[in-house]
Amino acid sequence: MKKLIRIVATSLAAVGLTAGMAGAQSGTIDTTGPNSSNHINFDGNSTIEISASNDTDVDADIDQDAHTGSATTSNNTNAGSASTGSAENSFDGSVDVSNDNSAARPTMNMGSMSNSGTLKNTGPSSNNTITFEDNNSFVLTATNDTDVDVNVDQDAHSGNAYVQNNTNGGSASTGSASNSSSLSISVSNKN
Amino acid sequence: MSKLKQVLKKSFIVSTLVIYIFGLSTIGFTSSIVFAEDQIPALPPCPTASGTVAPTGAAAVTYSFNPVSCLWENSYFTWDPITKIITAKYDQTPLLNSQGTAWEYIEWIYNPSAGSYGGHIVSIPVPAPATTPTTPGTGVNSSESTPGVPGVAGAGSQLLGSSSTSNTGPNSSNNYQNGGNLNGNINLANNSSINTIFSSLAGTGNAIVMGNTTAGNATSGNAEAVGNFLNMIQSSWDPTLGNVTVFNAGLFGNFFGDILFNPEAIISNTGPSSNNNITNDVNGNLNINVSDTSNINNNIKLAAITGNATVSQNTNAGNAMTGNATTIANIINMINSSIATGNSFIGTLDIYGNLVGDLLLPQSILAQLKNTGPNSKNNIANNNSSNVNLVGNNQNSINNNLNLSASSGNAAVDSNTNAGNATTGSANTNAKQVNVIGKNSSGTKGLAVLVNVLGTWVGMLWDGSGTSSIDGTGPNSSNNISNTNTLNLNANVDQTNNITNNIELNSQTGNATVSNNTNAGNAKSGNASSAVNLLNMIDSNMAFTDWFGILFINVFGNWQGSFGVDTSAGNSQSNGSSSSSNNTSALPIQIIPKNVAKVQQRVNSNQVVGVSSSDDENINPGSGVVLSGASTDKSTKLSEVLSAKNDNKSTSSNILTWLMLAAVGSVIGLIILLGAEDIMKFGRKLLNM
Repeated sequence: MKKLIRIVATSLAAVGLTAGMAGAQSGTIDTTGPNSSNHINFDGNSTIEISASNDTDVDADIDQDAHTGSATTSNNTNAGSASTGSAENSFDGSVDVSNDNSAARPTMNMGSMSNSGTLKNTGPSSNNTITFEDNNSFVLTATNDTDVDVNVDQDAHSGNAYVQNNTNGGSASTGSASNSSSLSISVSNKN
Repeated sequence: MSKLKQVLKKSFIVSTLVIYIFGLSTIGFTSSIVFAEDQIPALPPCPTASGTVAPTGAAAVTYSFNPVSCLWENSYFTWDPITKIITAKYDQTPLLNSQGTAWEYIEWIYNPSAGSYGGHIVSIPVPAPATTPTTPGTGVNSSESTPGVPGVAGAGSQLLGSSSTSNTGPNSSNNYQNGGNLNGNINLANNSSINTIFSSLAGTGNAIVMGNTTAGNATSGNAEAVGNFLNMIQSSWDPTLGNVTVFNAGLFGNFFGDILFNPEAIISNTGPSSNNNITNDVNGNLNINVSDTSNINNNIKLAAITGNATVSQNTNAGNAMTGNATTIANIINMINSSIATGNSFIGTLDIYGNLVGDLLLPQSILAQLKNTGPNSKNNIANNNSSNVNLVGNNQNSINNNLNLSASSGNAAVDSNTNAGNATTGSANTNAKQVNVIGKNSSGTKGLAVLVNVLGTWVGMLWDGSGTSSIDGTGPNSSNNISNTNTLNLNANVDQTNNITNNIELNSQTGNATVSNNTNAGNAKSGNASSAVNLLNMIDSNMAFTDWFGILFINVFGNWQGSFGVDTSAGNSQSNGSSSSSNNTSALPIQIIPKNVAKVQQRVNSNQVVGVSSSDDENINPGSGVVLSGASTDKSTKLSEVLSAKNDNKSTSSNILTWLMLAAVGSVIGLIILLGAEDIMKFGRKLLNM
């Protein structure tokens, strides 16, 4: 008996936040009079919360049985041999689990806040102020939970061989019994 | 008020004139104007000033009161009766002169003698360059604050608040504040668990020859249970850089002479090396919490039991022989590990008999394996970082619970008139394991050799460096962490890796009984053997630009000889010369010629060539060599492997299937890792085991 399984599980979280928190504002004050009070203020607040989770559970149960029957040569005057066949189980399996939460990751240019302020040609005794105040916060929670359970049960038995009570009988030989199993499990998680 | 009325009357006249000129719409418009004149609201009263209510000084005569603005005004200035402040009505914006040496503007000053204002140029020398690049040309006496705390940013970013303050007037106060907070919290968790339960029972039936006048033998078949497992968590065996070549070779019979193994006869067309780098440029308050938990649990039970063989109560009968029982488990567990190589090969050399001789590598290969590159590539670079708090908590555990048993059946020759011998088979168990944690190997070529000798091994492993065993580098190797321009980085990395192997192997051969016969043969029970080859890798990486190979050597008999060391074993006693490992061969396996009795060459699809031999029980010079994948079941499996490889490029499958081939017949395990420059270390360590 030969079994072949291939299990491929791929999860991709696509809660993308490609825009990130990048901000770009600009302001210009040009050619003001004396004693001016010139102010450029940028206030920005942003909050981003991202949650991405992959939960993968792979269960595989493989049960293989190979049995050959008995061979009996008995009560003959002239008889041949009694031979049982071989019993063989072969299993080749692979499980490939790939979880990827990277798409949920904000573009990490969160701080590329290219604010620009320009004050020029202001009058004497002016009070010029450029203030950037960017308050940003982000919370990224990415979780990959992967559980792979594989249960393989192989049983190979060759039958009995009997040469009994013959005047002239042959040999009694039982076949071989073999189990072979190859199992590959690969779990790859990416956040 | 009289002035205001005069102004309004003038407006009325002008408006009427315009209406007269443009005709049609004039009447209504005129009316509206008249209406407007009649309904014009009174100006709000100016606020009452206290104290001095009019300009003073010589220029006071030039001012007149404007009821609209409530200011005293002349052509150049205004005077506020409330604040008493004089304000220029003209533009006082300094302009840089053509020489760029001064800021200039015109200031109007009253000349009492002339009774009028005269213009004077006010010149302000350009000050020295400002210390802050972003504020060029600020005026003298300016007070300027330096830029504030740069904005914090997320991973791989900068807060680029740019400001330009230029050409400000004198006495200005220029403030640039770039403040910001970017608080990032990244919580990453990987929880991976692999649980395998594997149960394999292979049993052969009983063979009974009983009550016959004349009969033959009673023979029970062989029983074999083989399991190959490759478990990888966050690991890879990268085949993309090259091909994975599989070969299988066997030496049948007893062998006398050295064997030359040439990996490069297998490997060709090496691929490029791979470099994997992870770079984090982090700015700001960034908290990274990484929690990785990886568990691999293997519960493996293998049993091989052969049936009884009975020859009883016959007049004339043959032998009673039970088959061999073999259980083999080959297990590779990898967590956070990688094998990246150019081409790679996985091969098996099975020696079904006794071997007197060395297994040698070409000198050129030995030299290349010795002269490998540096041991590890671990870089943690913190550049321009102010506060970096990296807390790594690594917990690695490997638990191997192995229970191996092998028992051969009883052999009994009893109550016969004429009968043969009673011989029991051998029973052997062996488990060898290599646990590698935090090991990095790199270079051009690497070779891992797993040697299994069923019987006695007299010899040594190749050892050249003389240094001690595995001295692993830290975990998370081959990861580059680069923090540039970092303010605050808190990284907590909790990594827990557990590998548990519960392995139980049982090999048992049946009883062989020859009893109560008039004439009968021997009673011989088969051999029982159990072997486990176990390789656990955690946080280890192997990278070879040229090739990497794994070679299983299974000797089913005794081995008098060495691996990689040319000893006198296997040399012809007639000349006493040492076999030369300088020989090169186009074949992966080549016998250093002594006297080859029988030669039969075969070439299979894997380009492995060998020579078949006789099955002589005795050690004879020239007993022959092997072949791979011949016309047996193995060759069939081999072709399937190749087919699978072409179809799905599944490395793990190929590897595993290959391991299955490798495992056939491998018995007692001795595992060594010969990786590039570490090949010597492993060898020495293993010799001391």
